[in-house]
Amino acid sequence: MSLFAVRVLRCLAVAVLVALLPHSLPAQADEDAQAQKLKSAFEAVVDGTLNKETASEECLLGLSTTEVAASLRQVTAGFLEESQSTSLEVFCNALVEAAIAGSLKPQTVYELMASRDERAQGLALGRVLRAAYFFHDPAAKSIAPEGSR
Amino acid sequence: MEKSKTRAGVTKSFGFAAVLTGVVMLAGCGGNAPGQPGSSYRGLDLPSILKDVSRNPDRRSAAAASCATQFDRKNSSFPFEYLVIGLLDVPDEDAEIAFCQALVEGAISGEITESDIAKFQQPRSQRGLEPMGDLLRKLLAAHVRLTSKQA
Repeated sequence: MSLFAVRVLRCLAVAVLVALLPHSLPAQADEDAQAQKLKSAFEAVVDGTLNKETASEECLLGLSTTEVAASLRQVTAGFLEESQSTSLEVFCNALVEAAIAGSLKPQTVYELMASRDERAQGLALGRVLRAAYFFHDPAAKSIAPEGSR
Repeated sequence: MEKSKTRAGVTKSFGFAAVLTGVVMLAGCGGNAPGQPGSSYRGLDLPSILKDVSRNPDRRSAAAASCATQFDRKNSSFPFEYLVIGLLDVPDEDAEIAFCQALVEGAISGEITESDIAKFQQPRSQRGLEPMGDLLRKLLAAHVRLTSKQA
């Protein structure tokens, strides 16, 4: 890799690290509470105490009311080949199906939203997208259970 | 207030997507002269490698190896490998080669095009984030095809 590319990579790395700096404690507590709420919804749908439609609505509400909802819509639209107007809904439906099937752990959803650890958060994002990929297409539900590796 | 404070985690997660974008884009900045037919991929940038291997699928192993070399963790502090590990469901130590094999497979199949890569050289404000989602889907699809063949 050229020296120029290495330098730019380092600059980008610094930018990412700055973005990962801890937030204030009150904000962190609020994020944790939101993440816990969504995790609980996924746990409830897995153990059968919440129906999938309600769980999907909780998921959609949780994601839609965030400051990154627009970004999420764009990424999931591209990833799931959906329009931006429906991508989050389709994404949530797929995540709920994946959770029920045992291919997505509620803890992963929590880590995506609340983890301060870059490894856990990166893994969570990858796993959530993977689950959505397989479970938004009913014909492709052949994903191995999460954590099998 | 609740809205503004929620999902900072997801914001940070999309930092990883931005990192991956950066890696793909910047790989195109480090290139040297185009390769000659029959030569190895040493010194070529990623877009050039993908362009060549799409026309010469028999070079896929060399292309993937060369691509992986560009993402050597010892030379980079980027955390993009965690996203790849989760998305492709591969062991940590296989992140780079799995990513590159999928990229090469996608290029050979014609699913990942020069146009796809070129989109990442536009400002994010122009291209938005849909191309990122699109590329991640194509990478996963290519990885699934590869692992299916091996099974």
